[in-house]
Amino acid sequence: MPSSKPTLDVWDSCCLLGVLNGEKDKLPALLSQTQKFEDGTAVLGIPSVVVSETVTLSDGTPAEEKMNKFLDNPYVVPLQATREVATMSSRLQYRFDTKRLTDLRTKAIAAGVPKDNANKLKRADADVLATALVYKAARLTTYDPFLLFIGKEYITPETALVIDLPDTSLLPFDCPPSADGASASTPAQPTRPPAE
Amino acid sequence: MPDRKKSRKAPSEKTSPSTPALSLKIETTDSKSHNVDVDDFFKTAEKWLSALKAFALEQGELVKWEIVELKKSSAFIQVQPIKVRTHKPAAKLVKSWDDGLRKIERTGRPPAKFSSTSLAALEEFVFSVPQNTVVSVGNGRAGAALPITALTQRRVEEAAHRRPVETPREYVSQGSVRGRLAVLDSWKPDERSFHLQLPLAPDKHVKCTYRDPALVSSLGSGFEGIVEITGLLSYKPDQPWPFAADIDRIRVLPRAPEVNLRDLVGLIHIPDGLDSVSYVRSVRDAE
Repeated sequence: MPSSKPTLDVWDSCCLLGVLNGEKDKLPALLSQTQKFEDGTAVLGIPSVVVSETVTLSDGTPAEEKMNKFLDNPYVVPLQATREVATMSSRLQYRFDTKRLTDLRTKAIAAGVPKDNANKLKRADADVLATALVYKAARLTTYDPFLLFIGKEYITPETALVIDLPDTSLLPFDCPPSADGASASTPAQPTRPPAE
Repeated sequence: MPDRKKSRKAPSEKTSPSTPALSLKIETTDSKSHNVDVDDFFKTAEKWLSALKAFALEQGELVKWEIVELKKSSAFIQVQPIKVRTHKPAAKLVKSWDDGLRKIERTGRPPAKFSSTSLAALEEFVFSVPQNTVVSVGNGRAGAALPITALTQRRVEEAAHRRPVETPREYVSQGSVRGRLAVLDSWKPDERSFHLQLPLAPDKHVKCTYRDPALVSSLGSGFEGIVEITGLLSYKPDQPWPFAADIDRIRVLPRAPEVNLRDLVGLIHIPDGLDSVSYVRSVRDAE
């Protein structure tokens, strides 16, 4: 462990699951992050809710052992849902709700968030965001459109926490397109399930 | 600052008695100039509004403050708190504020609903009264204006001093934290302790104590490496990392990665062919 303080990059569940699920549109950008974790300039923060959402799918499968060993990596820091995190999460859910922030939905839809997910910040999303804020992360990496919108519109200007797709600056310039044709240098576009 | 007895009676503010509103009025005592200095007005009004907002926040009332009356001649402003959810006036908030202010003026004691934060904001307002002016606050009823005098200032100061600043307390929570096993303080049976250096806060060590002598072997193998400790973690308010821990388990972690991110690729298949974003969304929306 280097004596200087590394930056904290918190990952949302969709990032870890994107790797585990072998999603070719996300893999190049996500795997390229390993470089900064291995050279000690950053550590990978995994909120409790992300561990839970990820391990649910790997438990009882051949992935279980590898997943557990991955979580023991020196560059992985599990981030506990402390009382501060729970309180912050609750405040975020209260604030980011169309009932109180009346123009939230309109702005979110205008920014490309699907209508059925533009009403409020759900508990697990708020837990991930609160964890990143309480532990003073430099970045929250996610593909979720609503979190990306809230980050750009409110959180980053207020706190300097960057909420964004994976940093692609670590990708090689000549990175070839992945097998399914997705360009490695073009991060996956945020997606949502179709409206019910 | 006028003497209470000499202060002019505030002109009647024509607001319906049923309208919950609060007012601020500034009058000049300068015989050469009948108009209030605009800077004096805005500075005082800003402090007054800050005090109102601090009080509303402490009551947990989400309101926006609307101007319901504004007069030029006497530099008079009247505002009304409107509940954001219902768009109705917050009458109780107005009453609590006004009753509280009058109680402070009478007794110098902090009313129950005025926290140290509210009192600090109020103190700042009453001490911002410009020279050569009479500043009065009202509650929407005619003749009920309360001039801010030296007595008011003294009473508010007394009330603020009587209510000590509430400092959030430290708390203890069961949990785990990882760090570098840096300094072994003592091997004595009654003083078993060591310091854990946190990767994200290397300057703030966690003082760890343990009772189980069997943990000593873990300390030996984990020295200078990364360990995960589990036990009762003590936190200071607003700090994400614990400052002390009473440990009942130590797990020595590998010094180098055994499994990397790339080793995880394709290990699972998300049900129904969903991609990770859609899957996570479906799980979170189902809650």
